[in-house]
Parts: sequence; structure tokens; C-alpha cells
Amino acid sequence: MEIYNPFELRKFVAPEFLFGSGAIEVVDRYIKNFGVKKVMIVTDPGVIKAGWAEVVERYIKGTGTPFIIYSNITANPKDHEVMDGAGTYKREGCDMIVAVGGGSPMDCAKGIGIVCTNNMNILEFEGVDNVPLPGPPLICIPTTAGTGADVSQFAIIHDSVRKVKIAIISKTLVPDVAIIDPITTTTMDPKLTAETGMDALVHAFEAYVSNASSPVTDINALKAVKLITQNLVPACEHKKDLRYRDRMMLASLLAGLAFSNASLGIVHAMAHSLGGLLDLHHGECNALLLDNAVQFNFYCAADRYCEIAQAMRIDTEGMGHDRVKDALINEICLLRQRAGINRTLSSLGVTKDMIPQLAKFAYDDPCMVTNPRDASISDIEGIYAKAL
Amino acid sequence: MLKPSDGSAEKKALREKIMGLGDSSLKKNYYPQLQDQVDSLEKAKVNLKKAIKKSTANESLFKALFDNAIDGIVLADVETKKLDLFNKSFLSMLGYSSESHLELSLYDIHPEDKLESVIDQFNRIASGTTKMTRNIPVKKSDGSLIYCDITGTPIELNGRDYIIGIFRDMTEARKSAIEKNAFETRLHHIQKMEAIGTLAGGVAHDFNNILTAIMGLTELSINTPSVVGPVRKNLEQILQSCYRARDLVSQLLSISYKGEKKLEPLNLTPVIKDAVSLIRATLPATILIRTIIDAELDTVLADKTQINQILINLCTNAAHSMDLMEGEITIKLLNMYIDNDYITTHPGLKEGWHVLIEVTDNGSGISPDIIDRIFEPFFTTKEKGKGTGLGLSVIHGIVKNHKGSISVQSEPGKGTVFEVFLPVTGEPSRHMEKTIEKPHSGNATILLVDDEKMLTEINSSILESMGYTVLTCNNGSEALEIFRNHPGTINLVITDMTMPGMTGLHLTSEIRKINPHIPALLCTGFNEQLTREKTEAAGIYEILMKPFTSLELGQAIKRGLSC
Repeated sequence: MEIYNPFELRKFVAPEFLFGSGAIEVVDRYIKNFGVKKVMIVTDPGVIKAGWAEVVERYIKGTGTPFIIYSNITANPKDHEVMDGAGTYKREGCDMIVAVGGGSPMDCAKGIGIVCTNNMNILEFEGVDNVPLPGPPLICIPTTAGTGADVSQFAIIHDSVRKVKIAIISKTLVPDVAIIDPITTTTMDPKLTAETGMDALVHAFEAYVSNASSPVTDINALKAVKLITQNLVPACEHKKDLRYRDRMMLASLLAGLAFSNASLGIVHAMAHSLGGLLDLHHGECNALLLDNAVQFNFYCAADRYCEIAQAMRIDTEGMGHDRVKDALINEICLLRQRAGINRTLSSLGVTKDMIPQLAKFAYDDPCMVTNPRDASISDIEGIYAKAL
Repeated sequence: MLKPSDGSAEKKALREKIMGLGDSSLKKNYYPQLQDQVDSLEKAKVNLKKAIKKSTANESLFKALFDNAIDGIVLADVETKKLDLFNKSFLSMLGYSSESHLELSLYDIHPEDKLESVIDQFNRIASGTTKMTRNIPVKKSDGSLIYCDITGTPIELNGRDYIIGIFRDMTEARKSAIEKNAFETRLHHIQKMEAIGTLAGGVAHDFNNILTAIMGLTELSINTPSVVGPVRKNLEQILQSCYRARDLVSQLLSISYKGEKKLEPLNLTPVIKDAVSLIRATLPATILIRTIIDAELDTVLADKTQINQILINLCTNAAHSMDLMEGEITIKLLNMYIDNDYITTHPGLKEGWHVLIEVTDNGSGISPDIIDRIFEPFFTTKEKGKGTGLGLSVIHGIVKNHKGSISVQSEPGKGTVFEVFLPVTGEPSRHMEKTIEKPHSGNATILLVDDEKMLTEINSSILESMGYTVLTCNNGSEALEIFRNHPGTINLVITDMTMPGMTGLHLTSEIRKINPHIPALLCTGFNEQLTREKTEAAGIYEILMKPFTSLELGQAIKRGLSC
């Protein structure tokens, strides 16, 4: 039983969001409502291939509003991709962005927006509350279930010179509208389903144990953990089954709302560092680090981890903290394994000698601030080493 | 509630910002900017309203000025030369109806042959080189021309170059100026002619006295039986020269309009007809003379001889302008009512009925550069010895003396028209029978008065040679004295007009107070005050113009004695 400090202020920021199968079909209403002159659709080649960009195009076309497509985006969006997109946006005279896809197009869209309104380089916004002016109207249409970027105040951009992912955290980054249609996730293969699903699970975990968590974020986080535990593996196995897709999408939304307001922790700090250096898939990195992070954090937020364990359907009745910890770590590994994520960091190309650099970057990541346990660089190095 | 893992202030602050509790952790509020925009739009709206109001007022003012201006106002496109705007005055000035939807350009409103120069001036205005152009011919809707002064101002409207042109119709003013100029020229001419006349008259007076002496003495000498041979012939030549000199002086006196001629009511129709027969006899048969006589009112106060002289001189000039070869002369006698308007351009005339004697020829015409001088004495285009240059100046004098007016219109190569206007009189024509006089001698007693002693002596000798008894004196009071001292003796008085102390007229009236039946003959070089009324009232039966021959004197005396 936890008692919240009644004197600490609480805030919960979220965009207007439309959730449910077929939500994507009302994108035209929003476009019309904004009454803009020209729309830039930000997406990536994978989403275009899956056909979701075309669906959005069709509805925008129906409004008669001119639009262009910007899809020159890779995974872990790069700073130059953002600047290039901003140049196109200005040159084309656009005044609204519709992001369609996973975390990469959505973070890139957020970056393009603020670069255009502030006339600054994307890297200048690094950190918390460093965006003077919000970007233009932004509608996010996620096609993966996990990123949470569609509702979050985060944008993670790859600094291609320093080879590090920078976090831009600002209320100005919260999109105006999120159109969350589970159907769009039916085109994901099991691997992407698993990786993004595990990302969502880590969002929920970290938000729940975050030192900035609040009752509202807690509800969302725990519910997300429950949904993911029960639906991730079936979603991977039954690609087209909307029941699982819908629940995974909801879990992603709830986890997104939770971490956007409670922030994250050491797993994300370390995953950002990995993604920056080796351009690895963010979800997979998270999945491979989570168990070790729980091991490191557990006793600083033991009660919370117990609640998470319960949410993961672990019967903690009569268990001491140690046993709960072991059971939770075991459950995490089991879930990961069943979802098909069986690699280790070393099999992804991470070597021992990379660890000091990775740890250093992770230590400076803003996500570290809300981790329940302070970690020194050597602490972080230890966790990386275990995950190899 | 979990506490921050590290108590450092920096981390704490960062955590609060992530939680959305930092100073800048707020979603951007657009309301202030929106409010600013709304406020500025409101202000703009108010300003716009004010501007619209002002603009409407300006437009009304402009429209009132534009519509009510007496001058024509147009807006002309510099490039296309089209008139994009024109006011009512402009339309009415050009005779267009204001209702019609017209498309006009510079090419429509100026005569084709002047377009090049008009467009040149238009371009000068457009470039700011000039602001005003005068006397520009403007074509009306019916094709007739008016003349405008145009003031132009270049102006740029909506990125196009225009000229605002203000047209002032100067056609009437121009006509008036021309008329005024012509009037002044004529007036100047009249004044010049009068000055010449006065001069000629003055000279003639003295010259006549001199001639009288020469003629008198020459005649006396000739009448002396002892004068024979070459001397007599010389004297006869002198006398002939004197006659020619006298004729010349007589013409000079005509110029001065102060001749002695008596003006009688005269029907011009027969006079003209007679003159035409005379002229026809003297001109070559190749010159056709046509007569058009259509004047119901043909009675004028005139001297028949002088009217003849007018016609003869004009026709002779006409014939000379045809080199006496082939041509046509038309003589018209018409009636014309002269009104005030006509008088303004023909000074010297008075309102009323006039006869118009018009002599038209199709000869060589008169060159414009000399036409103003043709009435001047001694001005001639004829070769030396072929003309005196007095013909037209004599006519001019005669016409003036008849209270008429003469004008000329001529076009070189086409011919000339002379118009002579004479006022119609209400008096009935009197037909004066004149008896043929013969040289005379008698035995009556004559009182001869002249302030020139020499003339008294000469004339006295002449009269005595005719057999008369002559009493002479040199002023009026002396003459009166002599007349009183010789009651019943004196049968006739011959008196000079201009004398110191008492004029001939005065003397005559005084003498006739003593003897109302005494005939008096007045001799004069010229006297401007003499009118028929005055001389008749004084009791003078005849005026004898100096110089006169002894024959003329004798006949005049005989007429006096037979009264």
C-alpha cells in the first residue's frame, strides 16, 4: 500500500485520440477541421509497402487538400533526415503534418514540425523543455503497437555525428490528434509484433517504477502490463486476429500515456545508447535489457515490481521479495522467448569493449533521472555485461 | 510515491520538468497571439472603415468636381492612348450624348492630319517635359473641329501610366481674338487714313491759294494783247500745268473727306447704269461686265460725280488686274441691313439700311501682304507713270465723305471683291437741272474780300477785265464797312472763307442783314465746317473751290447775279 505525497502536483498530458478499428477512415474529418492548405505525410518505405500510407493518402485526397509525401526515413530517424524533411516541408509550403507508421516516422514528424516553427537545428532541442514553439498541427497514425510516440512528449532522434540517440522531451511534442486503428497492425510480421510489443511492456514497467509516476500513470501502466502478458504471444502467432491486435494496440496506448507522463528508466537509457551506436532495433534492445534492469532496480521499488508481477499473473501470495524478483525475471524471459526474441546483445554485435562508451551515453540519458535506483556508470556497465 | 533516486538539485529539477512541473513545461498557449491577431484585425477593421469613409468622401468630392467641371476631363492610358474615363463636359464639348457607352481614344478625338503632332505633345506630357499645350484641334462627333488648351498631368494608377487631361474649349475665345485683332487693324487703318487726310487737306488749302495766284496772274498775262509768240505759249503751258496741279489737289481733298462737294439725295440705280455704260465703252470687249441691280431702297446722299468715280476707279483697277485681257467684272447694287454685330467688325457704319455696291473681278487678286496698304495715298503696284497711287485712296475718301464704308476681300489668282456700303436716306431725290454756262462779262459792282492781298489784287484784275467794278478789302469788318458805305451800289459779294477775325460765312450773314437779297459767292481752299445747310443759312448761293479759272469765276458770278 503506497501513500502519495498529497503536496506534490500531478499533471497528465495527452492528445485527443481516436481508438478503434476503422479509426483511420475518419482522418479526413480532422484534416478538414484543421482547414490547412497543404499536408505533408511523413512515413517510411515499410509503411508504404504495407499500404497504410496509401490509405491515408486516399482520405486526404477526398478532402481536396493538396499534400506531399516524405518517406526518406530509416529506423532510429537520423538528424539529417529530419532537417531534410523540414526543408521539403518549407519549400512545399505545407502547414500540417500527418505521420503514418511506427516510432521512426512519428518522431521524425515531430522533429520536422519543431525545426520548421523554430528555425533551429533538430539537435538544439536536446533535453527537457528546450522547444520554444510548438510545431504545426500534427496527426499521428501508429501502425505498430508499442512505440507510444503517437501520444507521448518524447522524440528520439539519432545524432549521426556523435552516434548517439538524443531525447527531446517537451509538452510541445505531444501530437494534436492520435488516430489509433488496431487494423493497421495486422500487417506486422511476428518479429516486429514481438519487438514493438516488448517495447510497450518496457514502457509500462519503467513508467510504473518511475520516481515520477502518479496514480493516473499507474493505472495505465499496470493495465498495459496485463494486456501485453496475455496477448503478445497470441498476436505474434495470429497475425490477422483483431482481438489480440486490438488489445496490444490498447496496451501500447496505455503504456504510452503512462511513460509520457511518468517517464522511463535505465532500460531506455541503455537502449538509446545501443540504438545510437549500433542502429539496433529499439524494441529488441529493450527486451534484452529488461530482465537485468529488474534485477538491478528491484529492491528500490520492490512493492511496485510485486504489483507488476501480479499483473503478469504471477501468484505472489506468500512470496518474499527475492522470490517475486526471480519469478518476475523468469516470466520476462519466458515471455520474450515465447515471442521469439532469443538473441543476446553479443549476437546483435555488441562487444565488451563497447560497454564503457555505451554506459557513458546511457548515464547521460534523461531517462536515467526517473529510474527508481541511481546507477553509476559501472553499474550500467555491469548490466550491459550481463546482457551480452 | 517514489523519491528521486538522487537528491541532487539538478536531477530534481529535471525530474520536475519531465513531470510537466517546470516553468516551461506547459503546452504552448496560443491565446495571447490569437488575441493580438484579433485585436490587430479589429484595429485594421476600424482603420479600414475610416479609410473607406474617407475614400468615399474623397470619391464623392472627386465625382462632384469631375462631373461639374466646365472643362472636359479625361484619363488617358499612355500606352494604348485610350480614354479610360471622361466627364460629362468632355462629352458635351465633343457633341456626344452622355448616355452612350463610348470607347474613345486619342485617335478618335483629333483630326488625322494633326495626330502626329498631338501624339508628340501627349508623349511630352507623359514624360513630364511639358504641362500645357495650346490650340489643339479636337474633332467633335460630327467631324467639326474645336480648339482646346489642354493641361496634362502624368499619373500612375494600379501600375499603369496615365495622363489626366483637362480640355478647355478655346474656339470662341480664339475667334474673338482674331476678330479683335482684325478690328484693331481696321481701326488703326482708319486712324492712319484720317491722319493722311488731315495732312493732305492742310497742304491742299495753302497749295490752292498759291495755285490761285499763279493761275490768276497767268490768265491776266495771257489776256494782255501785247503778250504774243513764245511767251504766250509758255504762259499757256504754265496754265495747263496749273490745271493739272489743281486736279491733283482736288483729289487730295477727296482723300481728306473734306471736299466741297454737295451731297444730294440720289437714286443710285440710274447712276450705276450710266456708269456701267461708260465703263463698258472704255474697257476691251474681252472683259465681260455683268450688272445685278436689286436695291429697292437706292436713295443715298451722294455726289453723282464721285459715285461715278468710285465705279470707274474700281472697274479700271479690276480690268488692270486682268492685264486688260479676258475676265469678268460683276457690279452689284443691293440693299443690306447693317446691325450692331456687323458694326463691331466694320467701324464707321451706323445701324440701318444701306446700299451695297459690290465690284467683283476674277483677276489676279491682291497679295495678303499688301492688302492693308492699298487705300494709302500714292501706294501703287503699277509701273511708274502708269498710276498715281491715288485711285483707291480717293475712293476711300469719297466713301468716308458719304458716311459709308469700303472693304476688300481678295485671293491671289482668284480675284477681288470690293464692297462699298452707303447709308440709305429717307429724303427724296432731287433732280437738279443745270444750265449750261457761258463765259460772261458784265458791268455790275462786286465787293471782293480775301485776307490774301495778292489774291485780292489778281482776282480784282480778272474781274475788272471782265468789265466789273470791283471794291476790295482784306478782312470782314472792313468789308462790312465798305458795304454800309455803298448802299445800293454793290450787286454781289465774293468772299474768302477763312479769314482772321470774321469768317466768310459770318461776313455774309452780316451783310445780308443789311441787304437780304445780296448774292454772296464763297471761295475756299477747303473748309471742314462747310455744309450745305450752313452755307445756305448764311445766304451763300454757291461755293467756288480755289483755284478756279476766270471762266469758272465768271460763270459763278453770272449765276449769282441772275438769282
